Amino acid sequence: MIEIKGLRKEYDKHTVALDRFDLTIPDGKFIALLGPSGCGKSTTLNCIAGLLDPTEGKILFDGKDVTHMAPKDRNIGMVFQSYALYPHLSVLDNIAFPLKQKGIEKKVRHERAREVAKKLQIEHLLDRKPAQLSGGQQQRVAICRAIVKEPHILLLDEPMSNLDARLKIEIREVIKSIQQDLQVTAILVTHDQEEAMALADEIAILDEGRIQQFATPDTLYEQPANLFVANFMGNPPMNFLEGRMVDRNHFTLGGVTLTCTMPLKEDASGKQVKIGIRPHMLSLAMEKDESHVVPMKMHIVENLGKELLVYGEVGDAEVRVSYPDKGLYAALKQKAQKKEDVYLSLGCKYNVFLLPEGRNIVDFEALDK
Amino acid sequence: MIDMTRSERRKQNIAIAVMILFVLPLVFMFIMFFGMAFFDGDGHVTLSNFQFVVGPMKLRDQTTIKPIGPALRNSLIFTCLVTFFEVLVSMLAGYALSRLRFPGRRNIQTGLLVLRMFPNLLLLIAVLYVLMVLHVVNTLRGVVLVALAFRIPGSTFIIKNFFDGVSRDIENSTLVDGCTPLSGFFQVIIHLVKPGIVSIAVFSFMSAWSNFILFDTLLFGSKTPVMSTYIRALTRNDQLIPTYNVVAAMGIVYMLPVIIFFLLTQKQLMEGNMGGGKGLS
Repeated sequence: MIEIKGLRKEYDKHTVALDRFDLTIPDGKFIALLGPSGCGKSTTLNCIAGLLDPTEGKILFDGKDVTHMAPKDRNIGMVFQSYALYPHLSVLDNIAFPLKQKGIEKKVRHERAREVAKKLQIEHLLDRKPAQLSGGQQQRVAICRAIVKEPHILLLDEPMSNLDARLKIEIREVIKSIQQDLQVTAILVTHDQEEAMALADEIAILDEGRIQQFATPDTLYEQPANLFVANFMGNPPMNFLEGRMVDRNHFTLGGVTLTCTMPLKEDASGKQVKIGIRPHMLSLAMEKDESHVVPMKMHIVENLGKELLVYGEVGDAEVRVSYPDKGLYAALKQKAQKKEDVYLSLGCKYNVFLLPEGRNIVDFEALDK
Repeated sequence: MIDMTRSERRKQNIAIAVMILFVLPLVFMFIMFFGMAFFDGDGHVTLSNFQFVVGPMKLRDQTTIKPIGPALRNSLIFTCLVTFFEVLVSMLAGYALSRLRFPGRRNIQTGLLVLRMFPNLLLLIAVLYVLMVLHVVNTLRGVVLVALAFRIPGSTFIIKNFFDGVSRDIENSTLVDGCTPLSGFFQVIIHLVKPGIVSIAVFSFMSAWSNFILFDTLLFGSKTPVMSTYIRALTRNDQLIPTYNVVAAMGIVYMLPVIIFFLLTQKQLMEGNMGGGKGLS
């Protein structure tokens, strides 16, 4: 189990990269640290690895304080974005390098390196130098090197950022199967939400040195804790409609007053809110009816093959709606050309973010009951 | 080999022709001069001009020159010491400057550049005083110190740039893989800056071997002869006309180690100069 308590990291005494950072990771879990660049995710990873000294706070592995321990004493394996292979050594020696540092004799460590290489299907490359390998192969070698000493924790620092789309998926599978095989605790740093969703059991979303939300991919997607998480997760991104709470259960939106069908944690009467709603949860009608009451000014409509993507405007907010019925393409296109209104229904699943701090006030626990 | 278009190849041929044109006179001069070493005064082919290598040698005008042994030995000792310590010190200093953040780092870096550009000869008189304070005046040790002091800023600056090219990830990787910073440095980092080390070693070797001004000014008398002062002493002779053949022979002996060293390191040197960061990514 990895426990991070109150971690704080300052650079040059002015810039704070991490602040009041708490995270507990159970054994064998695959965790992703996800966030935009500069959010402190790499700093966190480097602190866990011991490559950076935190300004404040503690890191514990299985209850043992390792905050100021050297990286070599932490029993970790690490995979880097740039692969970081040793160019003067052969692939075999690269993989065996961590074992060499432990003083394991040559024959044994080469044997173990071969076994690991076989697992990742690179045993035919063992005699080559890293420069003679492709990016995907290099990253496989780097993964081999990270796991050859059977580390307690596997740290992955944007391991797929330098690879092209197809290789990304390939290496993703490799990492996932290796992690399940070894039952090793893994921490992945990435800015790619798809990568994080595909690999991690749980994802911590970071922004400005703080954890915004730490939850399963599903929860992050369905029940974002705040505007930042809601904005960050999902492609196409969530729609945000500006509105105002009239009383506990009603809000106005684009000139229409609606009943809030979601249970709320608090009474926000009179306060500004943002209604966050996924493009596929919005339903659209050509004419106004009982449920479709919010007018949307049409901009354009795209035919994506499996569905239509409709762009429009509600109030000042840009809105995207994905619409499965492709038969309406021509009609919608006509409406778009004339800049006419269509009507939206918010459906049954949306989020209410209280402004200005952007907290989600939907009571999901009550909803689940 | 890179494929070239016809016009490129034509331009290349022109370039080669121009280069040959410029090089030919030099080659001619060298052949004329060093050719003399193998002829005696009467124009017969002989190796007797090289007699100073094995023992004292009598010239035609009855002056005797001492054997080259001590000078050669001193020069070798000097060159090896300077090369070794210059590479060692500038490597460690360059690494520290490239990787560690400490107060005064920027100033040291600028200082290196300034020192590198400063004409060293202006310092010679001050250096003499320093050597007197250190009680190493008129000794080979003292000259080694001075030569090192003059050369280290430049070498440090060069090798620092090579260390800058080594990615942090590789260094972090060695630490995670179980190295201490020191063992990681010697097992991995040093291999990545090999071209840089070779190039400062070569330049250090050549400059130390051909150093003359330091010996001429800081070593008085002929207590500790080195190659450059040894040859100089010979050419100072008033009646040197008949001894040109011997001077040429000495020139060859003087040049040989540099040529050998250069041939040994040439490949890596070129890699370092042209590739720069090759293989570092």
